[in-house]
Amino acid sequence: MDLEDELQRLFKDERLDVRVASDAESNVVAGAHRLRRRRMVAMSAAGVLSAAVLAGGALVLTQSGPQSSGVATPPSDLPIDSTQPTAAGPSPETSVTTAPSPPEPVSKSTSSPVDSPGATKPTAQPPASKPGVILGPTGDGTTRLGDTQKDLESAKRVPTTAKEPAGCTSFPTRSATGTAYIGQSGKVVAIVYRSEATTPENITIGSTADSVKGAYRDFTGSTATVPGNTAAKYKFTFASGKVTSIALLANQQDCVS
Amino acid sequence: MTVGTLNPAVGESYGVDDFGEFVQAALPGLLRYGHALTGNPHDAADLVQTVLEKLGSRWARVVRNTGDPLAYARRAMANTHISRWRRTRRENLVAELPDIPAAAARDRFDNEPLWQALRALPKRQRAVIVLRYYEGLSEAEIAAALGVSTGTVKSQASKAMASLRTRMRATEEGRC
Repeated sequence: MDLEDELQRLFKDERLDVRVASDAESNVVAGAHRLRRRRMVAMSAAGVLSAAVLAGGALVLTQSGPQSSGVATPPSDLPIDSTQPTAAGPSPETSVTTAPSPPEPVSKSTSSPVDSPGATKPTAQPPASKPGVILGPTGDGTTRLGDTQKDLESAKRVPTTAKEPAGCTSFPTRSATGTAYIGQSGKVVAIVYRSEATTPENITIGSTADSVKGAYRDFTGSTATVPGNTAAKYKFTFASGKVTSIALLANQQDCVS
Repeated sequence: MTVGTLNPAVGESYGVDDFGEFVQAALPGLLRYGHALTGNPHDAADLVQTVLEKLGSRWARVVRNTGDPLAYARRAMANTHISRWRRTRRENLVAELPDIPAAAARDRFDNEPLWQALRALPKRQRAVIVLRYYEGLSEAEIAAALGVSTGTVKSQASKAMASLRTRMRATEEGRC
């Protein structure tokens, strides 16, 4: 018996046919639309938010458009409306009180000047989301800044088909909850999490802007230097005064703005 | 549609708005291919649905950049199956499957020792065999599709063929 012929015969067998469901096409098209919409919302909201955070000194009051609150609290148009926990958002524990009180962050941060940036601070409210992976000074434990595409591929990781800036490729992280970006250098230059990640300084998705300020003394409202790695920085985005994404970025990179 | 090969015309010349049309034309072939790849119709339906939804969500880009969405879908299925497959099973939406769960164990190829032997192969070896003998790809094409070296394809293929031969011989002897 010739095995190759047998294989070819087997693969031509009509018993391999699977009957297509009558509504399969519309189901798939609907599923694709859903995926696409989810991605668009996440992308535009993250962009708007980080711009808002950069521009305004008063972090918490700047977002007002319905678009900008899309990520954290999908069902509500305004951040202060979100008194009810929502399972969909990364911060189910949204509290009303942080939003309308701009002077508070100032007084709080001056009242605790002895806090050292490295220590884990009780200033953070218990974060609502899962702690997930530790996004440390050089990476998340399985993916590190500087890893090559080959490294990722040899770990059987498959690039996403996401549209990235020129020269950039993205891979899901090992946990599949984050994204690693490979830049023109051919190395990982950015690792971004929108859920289930915590820094060694105990900042996680859902931490308040105040606690970020407490943990990173040079926090600018958007970025902070990484304790233990001068070649990288953390970048945070916020919604309703709470962290919605944590990125570990190489100082030189063009993949994540 | 004739069985055995996927209609080569399906993958060509789709416009940006034609995703639905593409799905309709490609589904029978992809489900069949998925069946060969995964070894059972349920996983085939899961795999096809996952890959097509993802592809559809980036349809314009896939059409523009690859020019051949069908080839892209087949590569994506092989890679998805090898890499991160096997999460919880989803509700099946794309295929008409027999209801009885037992049918998964006792499937249509019950009396087909070669099919049973194929099912026993590790996923990557099986994918190499399917790409080689179902898709008719060369070793270099398989390497490109799976993102591995030609050497890996060669060694996986020869390991797979060896264990298929061993198993087939065992069943034949068992029959005597």
